[in-house]
Amino acid sequence: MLPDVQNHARAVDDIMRFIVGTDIVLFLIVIGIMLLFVFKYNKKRHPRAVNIHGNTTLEVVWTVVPVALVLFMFYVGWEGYIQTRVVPKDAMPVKVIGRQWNWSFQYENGKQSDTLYLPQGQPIKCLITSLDVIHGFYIPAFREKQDALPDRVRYMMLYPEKLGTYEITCSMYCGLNHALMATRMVVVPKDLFTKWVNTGVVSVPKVESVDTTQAKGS
Amino acid sequence: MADIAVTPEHLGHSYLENTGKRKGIAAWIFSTDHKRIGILYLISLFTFFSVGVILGILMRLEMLQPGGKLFNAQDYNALFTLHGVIMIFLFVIPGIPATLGNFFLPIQIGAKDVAFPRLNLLSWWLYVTGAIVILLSLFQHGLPDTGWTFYVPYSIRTGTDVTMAVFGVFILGFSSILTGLNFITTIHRMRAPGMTFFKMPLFVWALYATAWVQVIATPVLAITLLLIIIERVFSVGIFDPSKGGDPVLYQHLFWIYSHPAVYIMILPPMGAVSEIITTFSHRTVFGYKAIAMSSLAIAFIGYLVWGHHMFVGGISETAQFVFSLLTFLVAVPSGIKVFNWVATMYKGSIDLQPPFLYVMAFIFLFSIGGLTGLVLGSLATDVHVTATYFVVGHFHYIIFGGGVFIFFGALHYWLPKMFGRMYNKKVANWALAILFIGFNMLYFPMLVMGYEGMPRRYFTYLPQFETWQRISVVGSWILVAGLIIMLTNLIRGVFKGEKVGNNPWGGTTLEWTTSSPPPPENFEEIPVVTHEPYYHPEAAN
Ligand SMILES: [Cu+2]
Repeated sequence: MLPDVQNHARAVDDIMRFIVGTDIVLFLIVIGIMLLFVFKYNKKRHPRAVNIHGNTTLEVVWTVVPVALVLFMFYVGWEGYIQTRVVPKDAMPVKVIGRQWNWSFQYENGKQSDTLYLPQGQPIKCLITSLDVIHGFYIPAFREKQDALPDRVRYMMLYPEKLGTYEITCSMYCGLNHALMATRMVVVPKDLFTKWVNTGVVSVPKVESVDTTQAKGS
Repeated sequence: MADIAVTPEHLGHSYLENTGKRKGIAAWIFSTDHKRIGILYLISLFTFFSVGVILGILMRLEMLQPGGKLFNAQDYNALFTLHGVIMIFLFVIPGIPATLGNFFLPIQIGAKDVAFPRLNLLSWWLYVTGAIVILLSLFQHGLPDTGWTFYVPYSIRTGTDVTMAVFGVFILGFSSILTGLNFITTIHRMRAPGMTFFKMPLFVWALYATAWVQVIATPVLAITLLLIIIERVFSVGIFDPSKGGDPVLYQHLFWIYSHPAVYIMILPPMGAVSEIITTFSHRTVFGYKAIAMSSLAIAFIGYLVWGHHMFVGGISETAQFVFSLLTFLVAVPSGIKVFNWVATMYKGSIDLQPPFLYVMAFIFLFSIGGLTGLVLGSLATDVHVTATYFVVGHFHYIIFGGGVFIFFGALHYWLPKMFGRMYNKKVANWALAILFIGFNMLYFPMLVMGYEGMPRRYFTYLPQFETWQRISVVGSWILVAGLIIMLTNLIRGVFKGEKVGNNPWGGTTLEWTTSSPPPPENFEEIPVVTHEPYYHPEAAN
């Protein structure tokens, strides 16, 4: 199962559970009734059909109830989303730069890295852009994704809670090595991060590069 | 439904025998008979469908193991581009309207032909020309590798021959526009005496709504594609930011067409579902007006939701709010249709023939497609699953499981009318069972992998996806086996099937009142319509 590393990921999973749960109930109702009718009103059991042209009450109910339901789903999804757009005052900006076919990250003091090291417990404001075509900055563990557009800077908030290493991939098709445009995000303790970003000499956890061509089976 | 003189079958004078002044193949490719044009389209569409299927199978085969063992990245990128372009533009968009619509729209409204028969033939020729231009692009500077969406700036910068492919799609657009124009005029001007709008079969209503989408939305695609060509050939900065253009503008223009195009793909199958359910339930349809009006509602609201393709792609929060809200609302009329169809089975006298079984499979698969659409309409969850396998699974459930399964079902429904012969029903049922299993094995794992973060358009993948990928690959083999059995059975039925009468299913719409196969001008005498389309006097009231 996908790791979740911040509150937002859990919120998305909850919304997902709510929508998929509702979906399954609706699906079982529709398919169940269909199978029941097909069985009960099979021509062998029910040789003479009855012409029923409609039923206003029923039709109003099955219009109004779904409208109410989807409006509620919409609201839940919107609320869940808009919370991720709030930028706290103490957010640390990190530039995310996509190019064919790798990611690089630039910190406030100008330090560059091709692995995204982040301090635990620090809200991060990623400022995402691209140097060539459109890329997609996607961190599945955070349930977060934003397109990286050339000539524009778009943002995404991250709240790294748990120490660890997580996948970063490109989600917007960008040409030949789109599938290999991957790197890692590493969440490290705050003091370690501060030393690394300022001096660069402190050793942060080593990350092997993500090369899917070298994956199992080759 | 009408008082008409049915052609005695022994006279044997049908559109298949009436070659006009021409002989051989010329009697087909220059014929202005809507029925012959429908069959021309059918042959052309299924030729390209077969190509698209082969490309799809190869794409799946690549996923048998990670690491791009079978194709390298460039070849895989070309594979999914061609699979998408062929399936979308050469198969599902012309789809049911160009084939069965062409054949049955005039007959269902009691007309001799469409309003502009020569324009109809021109549409087919434009389709063929567009297809040839797309094929030519393959032999120039390497296969196009942009994805069927031709997103800029990539599509402007790539060295492969995008201009030619885009020009091919541009020509295809005109074929679609002219077909839509022809259908709208035919429905307004050519209905048989007594056939008011609310006495039209629901298939005709669906084609009517679709035709408006074709006429109004397709020009936007044509303009957009022309702008790409201008930008590539003359280096004018329209979409490429390095020349001062805006890539997000392209996405807006592209989806203003391509989202409504989804309704071009799904409305006609929905119309066919209404026909099939009433015929095999042997009763009138439940909520005729609701079904007819929901087609128009879907066509209309469908114009206003294109932004949901761009939730993570550079639109404002206000736009996200509005597009998400409208996306949820457009789900409602589709839901209403499903409820009406199931209600039409209530107190019916259901005959489980192959077309009806296809409809049951459709309701199952289309429901999964529609309900997974709610996950994508919701902003919080869309951000995570968009551009992953989840989207790929979702739209295959809608377009393939929904639209194309009903295309097959409708062929099983109308084939005896078109050729006067019946396929082997037992084989048809087995083929459907195999298709259904293969389909779910192929696409359900994609929903799971998408949620677990597998992005689409990857020629390789991380090892954690291997199990699901392999289940999906095996599913694709089962699906193809089903397709081969189904198509062979239908083709065999066309030539060697048992001869059947004019109305083997007990249908009530006008096509079942004429002979099978129909005479060159559809009816010996133009029918006069006195009843609703699904008039079953034998049922209790
Ligand atoms: Cu990329």
